[in-house]
Amino acid sequence: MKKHRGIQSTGIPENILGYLMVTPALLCILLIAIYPVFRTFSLSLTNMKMQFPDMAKYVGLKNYIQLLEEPRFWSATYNTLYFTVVSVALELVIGFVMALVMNMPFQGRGIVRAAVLVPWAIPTTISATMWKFMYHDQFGVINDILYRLGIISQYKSWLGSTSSALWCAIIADVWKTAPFMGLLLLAGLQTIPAELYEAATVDGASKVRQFFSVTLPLVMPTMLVALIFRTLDAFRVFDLIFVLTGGGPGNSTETLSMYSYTMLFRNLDFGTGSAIAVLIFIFVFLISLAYIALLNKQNESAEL
Amino acid sequence: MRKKRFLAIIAVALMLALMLSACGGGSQTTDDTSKPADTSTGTSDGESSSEQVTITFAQGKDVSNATKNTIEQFEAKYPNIKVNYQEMPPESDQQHNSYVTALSAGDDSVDVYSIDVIWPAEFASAGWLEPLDDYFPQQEREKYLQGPIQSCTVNGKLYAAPFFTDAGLLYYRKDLVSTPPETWDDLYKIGKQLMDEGKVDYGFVFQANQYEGLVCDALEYIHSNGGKVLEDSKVVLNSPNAIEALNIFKKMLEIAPKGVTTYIENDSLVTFQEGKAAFMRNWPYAWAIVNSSESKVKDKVGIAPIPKGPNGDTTGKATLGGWNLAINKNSKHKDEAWKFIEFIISEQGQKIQAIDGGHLPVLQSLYKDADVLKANPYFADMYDVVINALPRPVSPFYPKISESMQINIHKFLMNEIDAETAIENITKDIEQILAQ
Amino acid sequence: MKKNKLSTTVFYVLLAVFIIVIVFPFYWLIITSFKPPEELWNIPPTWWPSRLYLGSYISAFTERPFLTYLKNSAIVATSTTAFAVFVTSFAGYALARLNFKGKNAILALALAVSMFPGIAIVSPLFLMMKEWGLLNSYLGLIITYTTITIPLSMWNLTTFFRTIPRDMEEAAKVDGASPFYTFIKIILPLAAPGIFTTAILVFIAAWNEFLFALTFNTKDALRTVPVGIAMFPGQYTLPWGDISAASVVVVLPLMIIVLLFQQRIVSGLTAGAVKG
Repeated sequence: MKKHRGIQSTGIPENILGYLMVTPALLCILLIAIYPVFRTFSLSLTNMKMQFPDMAKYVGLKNYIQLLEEPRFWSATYNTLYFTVVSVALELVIGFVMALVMNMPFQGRGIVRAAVLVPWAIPTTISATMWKFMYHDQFGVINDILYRLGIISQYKSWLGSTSSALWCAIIADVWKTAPFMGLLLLAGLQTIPAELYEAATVDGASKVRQFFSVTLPLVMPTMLVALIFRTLDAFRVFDLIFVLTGGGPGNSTETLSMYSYTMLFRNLDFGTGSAIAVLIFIFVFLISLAYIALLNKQNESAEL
Repeated sequence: MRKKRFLAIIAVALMLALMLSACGGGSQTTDDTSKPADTSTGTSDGESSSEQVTITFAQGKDVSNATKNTIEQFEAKYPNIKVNYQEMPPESDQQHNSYVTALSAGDDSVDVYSIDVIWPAEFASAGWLEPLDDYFPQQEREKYLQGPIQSCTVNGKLYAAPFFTDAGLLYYRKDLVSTPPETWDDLYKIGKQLMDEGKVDYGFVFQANQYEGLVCDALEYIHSNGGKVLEDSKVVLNSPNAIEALNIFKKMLEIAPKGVTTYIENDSLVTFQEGKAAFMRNWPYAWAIVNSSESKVKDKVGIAPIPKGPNGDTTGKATLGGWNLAINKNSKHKDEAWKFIEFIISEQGQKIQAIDGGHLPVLQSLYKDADVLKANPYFADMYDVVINALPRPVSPFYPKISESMQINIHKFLMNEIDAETAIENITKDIEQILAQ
Repeated sequence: MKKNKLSTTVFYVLLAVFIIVIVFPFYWLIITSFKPPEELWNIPPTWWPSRLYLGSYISAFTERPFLTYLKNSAIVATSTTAFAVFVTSFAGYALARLNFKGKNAILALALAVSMFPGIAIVSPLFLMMKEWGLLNSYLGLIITYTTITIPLSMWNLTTFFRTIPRDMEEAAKVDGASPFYTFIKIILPLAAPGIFTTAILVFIAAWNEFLFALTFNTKDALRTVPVGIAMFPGQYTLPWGDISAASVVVVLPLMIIVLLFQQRIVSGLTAGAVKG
C-alpha cells in the first residue's frame, strides 16, 4: 500500500485524528451543559425554596421519595407516556407516508416538499395559539367544519373535556412534527441505491415486498435516530400543553415538564422542581438505551 | 490544494459569522454587562460626572402612552436622572419567570420593577426587594387605597409601593337589563330568563380556565359570601360559606358557554363583544374595548359591582388586581429609584396613569378629580368598587396556594370532586404549605 | 392502461387531500391576517375575509420593531447552523468511519445533554451567561443553540456517513488519498442530502426557540422573532390579526429557503453511485 499523502504524511494515527475531529463538538457541549446539569442534580438533593434561600439544606433523596409517593407525579407520568407513545407512533406512520410520497417522481413535488414543511416551520407558541383558537367552542373553525359536515350536532368544547383535551394536544403535535419525521425519513430513503429496487423488481418482488425487504431494513438506522429524538422531544413536551390547556382541565393534561415548570418557576421550589427534571432525564435515558440497543443491532447486521 | 481552498472558505464563513455576532452583540455586551457599575456612568456625557445617573425600569408592555409620558415628565423634573425603559412581555407569568431567573442570579441591571400585586410577599421573602418604610412614611400611605398598600406589606414592613389598581367588574347589557342584579341569585335568574327568551345565547360569561384568573373569579364568590382563605396566617377557608359560594359558582356554568372552563379574559370579552351574552365578569380594561367601533354591543353596556352571596356583606367583594413598584435590593441607585417611584405615585404621575393609561389610580383623591373623571367618567363608580375589593391571600407561598386552588376548583367545576372535598383539599394543602 | 390512469388519479386526489389537511391551519392563519378587526372573532367564523385588510401587516411592522427581530433571528439562526453543521460534520465522519475507543460513549454523552428539559437548565445557564458577559448578545444565544442542536446534528450526520458505501473510500485510499482528503472531496458531497436536511432542521430549531431567547436577551433591540411576537399582546388583549400577519411573515422566508434547497435534500447518492 502506498504511503498516504496530506495529513497522513505527518504520521497522525487514525485514532488521534478521530479524537481531534470530535473535540470541537464535544467541547461545545461540555462547556455549556456541564454546569447546568450538575447544578440541577445538586439542587435536587436540597430543599431549596427561593422564598427562603438561606434556609436551604441538603436532604438527600427526600425529594425523590416524596415525588414517587405523590399521585400527581404518577398521573403526570401517565399523561406524558400516553402523549409520547401515541404522538410518536402517529408521527412515524404519517411521516413515513410523507417521505414515500416526497420520494416519488411527480409533477410539483418541489412545492409539495416545501408545503409539507410548513407546520414544522411555524414557531411552537404560534401554532399552539392557532390550534387553541381552532378548537374554540364558539368561534373555532374545527367545530364549524365538523358541524357543516354533519359529524357533530352541536359545537363542542374540545379543550374543556378531560376525555378529548389530551387528544387535542396529540393532534396538534402530530400536525406539527410529522414533517420532521418525514424529512429525516426522506433523507434516509435517499441513501438506498436504486439498483437494489431494480434488482428486486427483476426478481419479481411486488412493491409491497420491496418495501419490507429493501426499504425498511435500509432506512432503519435513520428511522431509529428520528425516533430517538422525536421521543425525547415528545417526552419533554412543554410549550404546546402550556399554551393549549395550561395543564387543565382538572389538571388532566399536566405533563412532567409542566409539573417541573410549576415547581421551579411558579412555586419557586427549586428542590422539587430539579428532582422532577432529573427524573425526566432518567426516564428518557432508559428509553434511549432501548433505542440505542436496537440501533447497534441494526448496525451490526448492516455491516455484515 | 483544493482541500486547502475548501477549508479556507469554511474558515472565512465561520469568521464572518462569529464576527457578525460578536460585533452585533458586542457593543451591547461591553456596554451593559462587563461593567457592573454601568448604570451609574454618564451614558451621554463624555466625562463621568457623579451627578448624572441612569436607572432601569422594567415593566410589562404598556399599550398606552402612559409610560412614555411618565418618563418624559420625570426626566424633565429631574434632569440628572435618566430612565432606561426595559419593556417586558405582557404576560404576568413571563415577567415572573424572567425576574425570578435574573434575581436569583443576583442581577442588578434593573433598579425599579413593576410587579404583579401577588408577588411582593414572594419576592420580599427571597430577599430581592428593598424595604421602603423609610422612604414612604405611614402618613403618606394613608392617602392611598389601603387594599393595594396591604398587598405591598409583608410581615409589617413595606416592600413595594402601589402603582395602579384593578378590580373585577360586572358588565351587563343595559338594553336587556334595566337594573343590574345585586345578588348572584338574581344574576342567575335574569341570565337564565334572557336565555330562555332567546334574547341572548348565554346568560353569563366569565373566566374559568385552570389558571390564576380562576382564583380571582372564585374568590369573588367566596369573599362575597363571607368566606375567607387566610386570617392571621392561619387557614380559615373550610366554612359553610365557602362551600356554598363554590356551589353558586358552579351553578353559573349552566348559563355560560360550554367551553367557559377553558376561557381566559379574552375569550369572555369576545363572547360579550359579539353580543352573545347578557352579563360578563371582567376587569376594567374591557370597558374601552366593548365601546369601541369593532364591538357589536357599543353603547349598550353598563357596569356594576360584583354581586354578593346570601351570607355576604352589604356589597359583593371584587378581587383586587393591579401592579406595584419595587426597588431591587442590589440596585446601586436606590435613592434615584425611589425618586422615580415617588413621582409615579404623586398626583402628577397618577394623573398620567389615569388619563393617558386608563388605569385605576391608587391615590384616593383622584377619584374626585375633574380631569380624571372627564377622561374616564366611569371612575366615579369605581371608587366604591376598589374600596371594597379584597386581595388574594398574602403569603410568600401564594403561588403554591393559588396552584392548589386552581387545580381543586377546576376539578370541582369539571364534576370530578364535590365542593366539600375541594375545600378540604385546599385547606389541607395550605396547612402543609404554611407549616414549612 | 386504464388501471394506471385510475391509480394516478387516485394518487393525486389523495395527495390533494393530504396537502389540504397539512396546509389548512396555515391557510387559516393567512386569511386571519387579512381579516378586518371587526371580523376576527365572528361566531361562526368566516372562511374568507369580507374585505382585504392590510392593517394587520402594517401594524405588525410599525407597532414593534419587527424588522429588527427578523434581523436578530436571521443572524443567530444562520450562525448557529453554520457552526453546528460544521463542527458535527467532522465529528460525524470520525464517529462513522475512523477507529478509536469511546465512540459510543461520545454519542451517548451528546444524547444525554439533550435529555434535560430546557426549563431546568435555564437558570444556571443564565448565571453562566451573566458571568461571561454574554447576556443581551448574539453570541450567548448562538453558543446555547449550538449546544442544543449538536446532539441531533451529530447523530444524524453519523448515521448518514455510515450509509455511504465503503468502496468509495477504499478506492480513494488505493489512490493514495488521506482520510481527511477523502472526507472533504468524496464523502461530503455524497452526504449532501443528510447535511442539507440537518442544516434545515437546525436552522428551524434555532429560529423558533423561545425560552432561552426570552431569558437572555431582554433588550428589545436584541429580541428574536418568537419573543418579539410574544410582545404583541397586551396584558389581557390579544391582537390576533397582527400576530397572524407577523407569523406569516416569519414563515415565508423559511418556506422560500426550503423551496430553494429541496432539490439538494434529495440529490446525492444516486448520482454518486453512478459516477463510482
